[in-house]
This record gives sequence, structure tokens and C-alpha cells, in this order.
Amino acid sequence: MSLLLQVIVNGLIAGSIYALVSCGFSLIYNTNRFMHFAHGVSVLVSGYILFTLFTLLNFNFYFALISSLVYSSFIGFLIFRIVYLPLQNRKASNVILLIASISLLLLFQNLLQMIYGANVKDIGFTDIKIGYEIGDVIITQNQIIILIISIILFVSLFLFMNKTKLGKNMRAVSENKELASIVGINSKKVSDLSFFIGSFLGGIAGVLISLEQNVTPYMGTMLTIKGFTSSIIGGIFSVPGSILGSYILGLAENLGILYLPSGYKDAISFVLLFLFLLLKPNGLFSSKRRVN
Amino acid sequence: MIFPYLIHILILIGIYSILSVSLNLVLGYSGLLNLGQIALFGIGAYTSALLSTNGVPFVVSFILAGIISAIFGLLLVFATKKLKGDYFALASLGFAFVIYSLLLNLKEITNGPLGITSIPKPTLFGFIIKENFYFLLLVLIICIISIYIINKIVNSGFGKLLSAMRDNELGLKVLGKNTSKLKYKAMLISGFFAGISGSLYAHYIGYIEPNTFYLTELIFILTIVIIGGIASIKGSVISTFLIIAISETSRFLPFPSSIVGPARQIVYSVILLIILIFKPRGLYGRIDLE
Amino acid sequence: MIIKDISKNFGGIKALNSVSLEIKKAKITAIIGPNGSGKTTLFNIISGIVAPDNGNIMFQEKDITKMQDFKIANLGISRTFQDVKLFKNLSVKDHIKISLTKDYESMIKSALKKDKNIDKEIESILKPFNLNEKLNDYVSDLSYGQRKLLDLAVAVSKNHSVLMLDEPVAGVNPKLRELISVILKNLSKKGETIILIEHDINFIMSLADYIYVLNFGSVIAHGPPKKIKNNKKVLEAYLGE
Repeated sequence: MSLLLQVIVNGLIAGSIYALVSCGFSLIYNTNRFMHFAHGVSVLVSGYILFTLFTLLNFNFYFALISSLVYSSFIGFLIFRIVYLPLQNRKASNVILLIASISLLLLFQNLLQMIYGANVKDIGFTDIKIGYEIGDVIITQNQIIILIISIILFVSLFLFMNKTKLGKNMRAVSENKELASIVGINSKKVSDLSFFIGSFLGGIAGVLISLEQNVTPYMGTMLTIKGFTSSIIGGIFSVPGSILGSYILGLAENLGILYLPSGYKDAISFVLLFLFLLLKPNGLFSSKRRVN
Repeated sequence: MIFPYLIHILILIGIYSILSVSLNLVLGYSGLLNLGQIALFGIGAYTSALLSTNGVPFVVSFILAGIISAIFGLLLVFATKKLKGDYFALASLGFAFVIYSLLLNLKEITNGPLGITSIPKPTLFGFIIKENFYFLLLVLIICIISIYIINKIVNSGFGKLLSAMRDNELGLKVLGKNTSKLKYKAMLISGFFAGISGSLYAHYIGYIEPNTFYLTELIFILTIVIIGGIASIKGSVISTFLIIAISETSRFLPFPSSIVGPARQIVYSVILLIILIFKPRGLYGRIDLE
Repeated sequence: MIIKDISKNFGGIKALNSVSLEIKKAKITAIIGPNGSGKTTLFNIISGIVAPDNGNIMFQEKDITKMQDFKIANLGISRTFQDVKLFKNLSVKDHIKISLTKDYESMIKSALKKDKNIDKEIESILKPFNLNEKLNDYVSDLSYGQRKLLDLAVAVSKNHSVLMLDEPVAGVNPKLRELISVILKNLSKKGETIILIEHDINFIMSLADYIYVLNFGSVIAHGPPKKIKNNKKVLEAYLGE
């Protein structure tokens, strides 16, 4: 019983990280109508900037933290302006945007591998790896932070999207871009904002997972795939759906390795991805729009 | 002294030409946005490697590699038949992930991340093709035959149907053509050739592992096909020449391989992005990727 | 063709409400009605692209209600679409070739056999459409009017016993409208069965033998042109309440 509880807690923690990635991914998809596979770049950038500033150059941790979040948000915005917008202006199809985004992700992965090497790097912020025992479950300080921060961010995102003017503008653009621009909403600015917010959330995921595990050039690709899978499971048209899908994925993975060898963890998400794309491409929670 | 290296480059060009032309067949001529072609390449490589390291003669391994890849290609089309456009592309990408994951995890069969080593050199009619020069001849013959066949197909009436299907599938259906069957046939051929190119790759390099058939290699092959031009066989072949030439000559740069490796990937990514933004039809393509 | 009680619901919107029609052989039957009245949906259901929720369709004594689109096409139903569905990167000649040739679907046969020379046949098919000068042009090089003509030519060249045309003169200039009108009249004289969707009332009145009027997914009137012309319900539907 306690093993099950521990597994569920682990699943929720993993789910929180995936949710941070996937809700940004879904937000960007809803606003811009294409898959931003390069979302993992914001994870990579935040992780490596944190490592560089804090671990290598010994800056103050919180300064390094804030810097990394700023940089990763900015990278998302730059990618939109430098790559996606020119492509969209040339009426590129979604497949071209998809290929371009995969290309960008690998570009950054290789760039970081070239600069820092392929091996994993530890952030070395050991304070937060202190574990607590709550009942039968062991949970570290960092893991508690992950859970709390995610919930705060999701609630904030919800409030932002539903209660603020900017948020409502974003939802208007995702519902109907043409109509929104007729009403005077600047869709380019809204897209900028979606990339900032989405990449910021991705950046937070990057920082948290770097502290929780380590920093590697492959974490961008891995989290993008997990985030993407979560969005597909929950329903890419729905940001809350993506969040729920993430927790489902986190739980499925951790429950799965109770019965399967641990190497199969990633296989579980790949298989779920493929199955959902085939059988339920709209996801579990998406009420509106059809796939095509 | 340069000669052996030239042979090496030509062998790679031959192998990748077959793969890129096979991808262009489904992507460019038939309109199937198959991002999972790399998985079929890998299935071919693994099939051939596993069979021949267990004593199966090369010719049999080679042909089976093509057949098994073709079957997986058919499975992919079958599984995704309700999906359109970019959702098909995503599902094919998902398929590539699943195959990668299987190659990585089914350790008893594939030896997992360690890969398969000591893949034997091909034996034809009792003659072991040990030297690269003879391997080059083998590759050239297979390459020429493969490209000839694919070229004949795309220029035939059947090929016209594929192009029509790419341009407007519904328009072709109301003319009474079974587009579903067309997709299966196109993927059958494409998968077969992807598989045999995988077999040649495995027997040449002598060692394969799951990462060889994942995202990095996918971008490599997509770069080749897009630069060459969608629906242009000539383009794919010329583009293979260019990209492999860049790739292999970069080995001589005076930097350690831990730098050159990723640097090469960065160059491909950048080239691909530039082409997509400025010249999406590539060198010889007349068609836009829809 | 007998269309009986066809209904179709699209996520809460009733596109077609128990619609019944009879398509008489060798006659031109027109389906008219304001935008959104369900005309194209009806065409899509007949040609097998969309499945109806209720009702059935009998064609030449066969029930084609649940048949696949390409199979229905092979039974002898040719159709055009409102948004012309041609093959952007193929030539005019290729379009007719694909339409005429049955063997292309076999990969081995068509790769090995040499293409039969059907140039004469293609020429005579394209003659009434004035497209012979454009034989080798790609669709992307044709004007809108020429595309409309090619669309019609492809449908006509395909082996068929019924022609379903969805707005064949939408957006074309008067000269072209006259040409298409002549082409359709000639086809009808030769005994062709034609079903027509159009907005241009004058075009319909001069061509149709029988007219069905749809509004909000239901048949509100049907009869020969004379009867429909002065029908109050039809006028109301078009002019709004």
C-alpha cells in the first residue's frame, strides 16, 4: 500500500513537470495553430543558464534562477519572430512548421552538447534534495516545491486567461483569428505573448527538473515529447485538458514501471502517444474542435 | 591515398540515395507526410543485421529486410488511415518513437542500447565482399536498379495517380480511384527500398544501435529530401551527394569529434531552416509541401 | 435515382431534414435554394463522401446509401465540386488521361505497358470546352474560367450515367456561362441525366426540366420551372422573411 502511495506521489510530481511543459505547448498551439516542437528549447535554455550562472560562475542562486527564466521566455519569443513568423508570412503549411521546429530543437540540443559536452551536469543545489517522510511516503523539498509551484502557476494561468483583458484577447485569437483582428486585437502581439508565457512555463519546468535530476542536452527533446504526448492525451485544444493529460501520463509511467522494467518508462509514453494519435486524436477532454 | 576515402563517400551516397528517393516517393509523389521513414530504415538495418549474425545468408537477409520494412510501412498506413495531413505526420513521428523505443528496450532481441556489432560483410555466390571497392560495386548496382524502378513507377500512369492523390485526394476518389489502395502500394515500395538501404548500411558500417535511427538521422534525411526538392528524384540524388560530401569532408576539420559531431548536426539544422524559409521547393522541386 | 427521407445532423445543426427527390433519366434536375440550405450536403451524401443519419438512396435499382465514395463513382456517378477539385501540378492532358484510363491503378501493368495513344480521344473530349490549346498547361497556369471548364470536362469524360454538377457557373463571366449552358444543353439532348446545383436563377430556368427548392434542409417546393417561378414560398425563401 505504501509503495502504491509513493508511486502515486512520484506520478504526480512527474505529472507536474510534464504539465508545465504541456500547458505552455497547448497554449502556443491554441493561439498559433501549429505544433511548436521546439518548445523544449525553453527547457534547455533555462537549465543550462542556471547551470552556467550558478554552478559554473557561482552567481547568487536566485539571480541565476531569474535570469534563466528571463532567457528562456525570450528564446521562445525569438524563435517565433525569427523562424515561425517568416514561414507563416510565406504561407508555409503546418508540416513545414513542424519540420522547422524539430530542426530548431535539434539545433539547440547539439549546440549545447557542443559547448557543454554530452554528459549530465548536476546543479549542485543540495539543500533542496533533503527528503522528508510524510507518512509512508518520501518526498524531497524540491519535489514539494514542484507540486506547489505548479498549482500556483496553473491557477494563475487560469485567472489570467479568464479574468484579464490580455488573457481574454488570447482566447479570442485562438477561437477565431480573423474575427479577433476585425475587433481590433493585434494577433501578432497575442502570439508574442503566447510564446513568452508558454516559454516561461517551459523555463520553470527546465529549472525544476534540473534541480530535481540534472542537466543534459537531451532533456529538451525528452520533455517536448512528454509534453506533446500529455497534450494529445488530454486534448491539445484545451489547456486544462493538457494539464490533466500530463498527470495521467505521469501516473501511467510510474504505475507502469511497477510491472515493467524501468527502462520501459519512456516506451510507455511513446506507446500512449501513438495509440492516442490513432484512436483518440482529440484527446480525452477536448470538447470543441474536431481534428480536421 | 584519397581513393579509399572517395570509395567510402560514394558508398554512403549510394545507400542514402536509395533511402532519400524512397522517402520522396511517399512524401513528394504520393503526399504521405511520412516522418517515420527513418524507422523503416532502422527496421531494415536491424532485420538484416539480426538475421545475418545468426547465419542467414546475405541475399536472404537483404531481401527480408526490404520485405519486413515494407510490412511495417503497410501497418503504419493501416493504423493511420483515418488521419489527414499534419496529424498523419505526427502519427508517423509517433511511430518512429515507438520503433526507437522498441529497439532500445527489447534487449533480448536487439541488444538494446549496446546495439549489434560485428555484422558480417555480405557474401555473394560464395564470394565475401571484404574490400570496400567491391562493396561499392554492389551498392552502385543496387542503387541504380532501385532508382530505375522508382523512376519508372513515378513516370508511369500509376505515378500520375499518386501525384493526383497528393494534389487532391478527394478529387481522385470521385474519379473512381481507390486511393486507400494507392497509399498501400506506394508505402509498400517505399518501405521495401528503405529497408534494403538499411540492410546495406548495417553491412557496411558493421555496427548499428537505436540512436542511429532517431531524430538526428530523421533531420538528416529530411534535409536531403527537402533540399533536393519534393517530387524530384534527380533532386534527391544530387542533394544526397552534396550533403554527404559536406558531412564526410567535415571529418577533416581540426577539431575533436565531440565538437565536430554536434557541429555537423547544427549545420544540417541551419541549412534545413534556411531552405524552408527561403527556398522551400529546394533545388529541383516544383511542388510545395502541403 | 431515388432519394428518400435523407436526414443529416452536424453537431446540433440539422443540415437535411427528411429530404426526398426523384432524379429522372435523361432530364436535367436542378436543386436550388439559399446558402446553407443543404444542397452541397445532399450532393456529398449521394456521392458517398458523407454518411446520412437516416434515409436511403437507390441508383439504378442499387442501394448506394452506405457505399464508399470511389465505388459510387465507379457505378457511373460523376460530380464536380463548388471549389474546383483539380490536380494543381498535373497538366490538362493528364487530367483527362487519368479520367479515361482504367489500368493506371495497377502499378506493375502501368509501369511495364506502354501508354496507349489516346490523343485523338482526348482532343475530341476537350473540343467543346476550348481547352485543346492548353493541353500541356498545368492547372496552376489556368484561369478560373478554364479551371471550371476543365472540371466539367473531367466529369464528362469519366465513364458515367449521371452528372452531378455543383455550381458549374459560379463566378464565371457571361460568355463562359453561355458556353457552359450550350455544353449542358447538348449533353442533355444526347440523353444525359444531369443534376445541377446553382444560384443563378436565370441559368436554371433556361436549362432545367425539373426543379427542387431547398430551404433550411427541407424541400419547400418542386416542379417544372414554370411552377417554381411564381411560387410564393420560393420567393420568400430567397428574399428572407
